[in-house]
Amino acid sequence: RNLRRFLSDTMANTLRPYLNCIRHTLTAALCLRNFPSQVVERHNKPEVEMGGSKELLLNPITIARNESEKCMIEASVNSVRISVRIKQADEIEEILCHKFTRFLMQRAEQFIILRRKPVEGFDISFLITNTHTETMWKHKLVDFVITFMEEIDKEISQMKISVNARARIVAQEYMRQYVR
Amino acid sequence: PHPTPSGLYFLHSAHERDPMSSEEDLKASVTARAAKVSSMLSGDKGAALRTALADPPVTSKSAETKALNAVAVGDVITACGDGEIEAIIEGLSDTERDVLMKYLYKILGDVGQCDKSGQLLKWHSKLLKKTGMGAVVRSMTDRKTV
Repeated sequence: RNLRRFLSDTMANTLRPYLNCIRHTLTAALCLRNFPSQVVERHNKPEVEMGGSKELLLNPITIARNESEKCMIEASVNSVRISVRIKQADEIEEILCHKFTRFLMQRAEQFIILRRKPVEGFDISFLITNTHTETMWKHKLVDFVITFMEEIDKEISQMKISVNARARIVAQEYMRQYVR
Repeated sequence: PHPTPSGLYFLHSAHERDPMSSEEDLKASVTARAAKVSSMLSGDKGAALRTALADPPVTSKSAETKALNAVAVGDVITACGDGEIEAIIEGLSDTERDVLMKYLYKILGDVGQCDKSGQLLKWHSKLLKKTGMGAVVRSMTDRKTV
């Protein structure tokens, strides 16, 4: 148990600066204002999703912690898209991650800022628009995204542990009939 | 009647460079600067960083030239020990700090160089403390990307 705590502490040490960097970049990117569509009258679309007018889009920023973990922040005048690639060390984590993010994305309405499909190359995406920053606190939105990124790693490792434990119990029960 | 480009010269910012300078010139100056920086790495790292950050090839359309300069900056950053970071940042001018922030994001975004990410994130937090949010916003909004 001490080894696990030591490992989680060292992991946390490298995780903190990564999350802090994302926090500050996100706070800077979330300066949004209402901007009706220039293409269609009376329409109001998130410009980062439309991707049409270059003057409305900011430079996308990617922060890569290692090959398997990175975060891309694409900002525009009225919306920000945050895409996260979650660490998946082996096949079980890949499957768990895929199922977990699918579960969340199917309930994207409840999450308000979640996107129903992740951006290509990432596992999950958020879309925050000016309406969200008008109705919700910006620092709380940033907190939510950062906590989400922290928690999802923990949840996936916990799920992996419980999957392994269940598999061991099932195997034991099954093999019992052959032992006499 | 072709409009003369003279009007553009007035709109151009602090860059002393002739805006029509060719890709080869930019590439040559970047390669020369990279060689100079690597020779300065054993000595004053602050001066090496200032040389690497001076006159970034923002007008270049070639990704290679820009990548070359990013490598030069990245080399200086990884060569510096943790204790030296704050002192070096103190010694930079405001423009140089902006350029450094842009380079930090550029190298952080490159998955191929993710082994440097720990060092880069340390630099990022210390630089942010000095410059404030402005540098981050400018690296996202400035059309002249490094």
